[in-house]
Amino acid sequence: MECGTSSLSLPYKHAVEGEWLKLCKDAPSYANLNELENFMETCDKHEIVHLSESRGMNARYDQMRANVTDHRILTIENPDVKVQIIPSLGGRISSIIHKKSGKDVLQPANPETYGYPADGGYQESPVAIEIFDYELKESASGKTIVLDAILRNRSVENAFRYIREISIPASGAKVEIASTIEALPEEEVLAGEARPAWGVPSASARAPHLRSDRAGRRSLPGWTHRANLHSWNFPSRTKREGAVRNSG
Amino acid sequence: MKNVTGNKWALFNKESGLAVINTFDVQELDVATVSVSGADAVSMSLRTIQKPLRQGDKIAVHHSYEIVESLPVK
Repeated sequence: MECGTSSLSLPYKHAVEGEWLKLCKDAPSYANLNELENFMETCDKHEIVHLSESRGMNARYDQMRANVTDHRILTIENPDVKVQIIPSLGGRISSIIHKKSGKDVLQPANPETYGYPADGGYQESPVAIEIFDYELKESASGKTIVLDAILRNRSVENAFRYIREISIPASGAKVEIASTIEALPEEEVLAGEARPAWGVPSASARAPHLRSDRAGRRSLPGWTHRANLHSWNFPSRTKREGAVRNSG
Repeated sequence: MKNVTGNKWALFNKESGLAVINTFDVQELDVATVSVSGADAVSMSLRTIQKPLRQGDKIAVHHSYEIVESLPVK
């Protein structure tokens, strides 16, 4: 077999075509889900239990699955803002477009990065590249995409349910996000982290603290490099069979 | 120890003339950070308190992002 983890993991460029983020046609012939499944079956046959150091099989599988498949793009919009979400890339928000200016305020995915196509935009931890179910809800007050998935933390036994609601009002350039992690096993140690990456040239960016709350009399001590968050590292797990069933 | 004391901050982009105002519930968070990643992006992070959860226990976080045409930054 020609392919292995390195070739299946190498980022292959995707491009937006209508409601899809599609694998580009110049990707190698083995960049497809059938070849990936063949590879995983071969790993099973030879009792391989880790595809990346200490992270088992599913984390790398999720990455390879994302790399060799197409992804549906969901869009919710009002007269002021357009929000695009990709459920099969961990429910990532890929763009938030301010309609009046035409600007996307989020950082676009970079095909040169290791995690591509799950790169840029808005993401949350402990979610990675898993596939979410989704539902669109509309009312007079606005629109909401509800994302829902059962994720695995470290092992199949340690599972949690992750629900994220992404809402826009009927008008106004505003996005609201509500996320809930619910532990399914007897006991689990978890935290959540929202991580928007903004497409802002660093030389021009400033992020002043708006001291609008009663306690806000000092700057946020948390204004540090993300290296401080290295203690937070829960590789997520999606049951592989479920990922295949829902792919695309 | 909880490190987040504010409930709102904004990121200004002088080139686009836009700002994003991020509002959150301070009671839900432990740490909020901003970091520069490369030449073209700035990342924010809102992190909840890490804690053990029993079956059925939940962690929830609510936050919003409003895009406005920004004022000149000095």
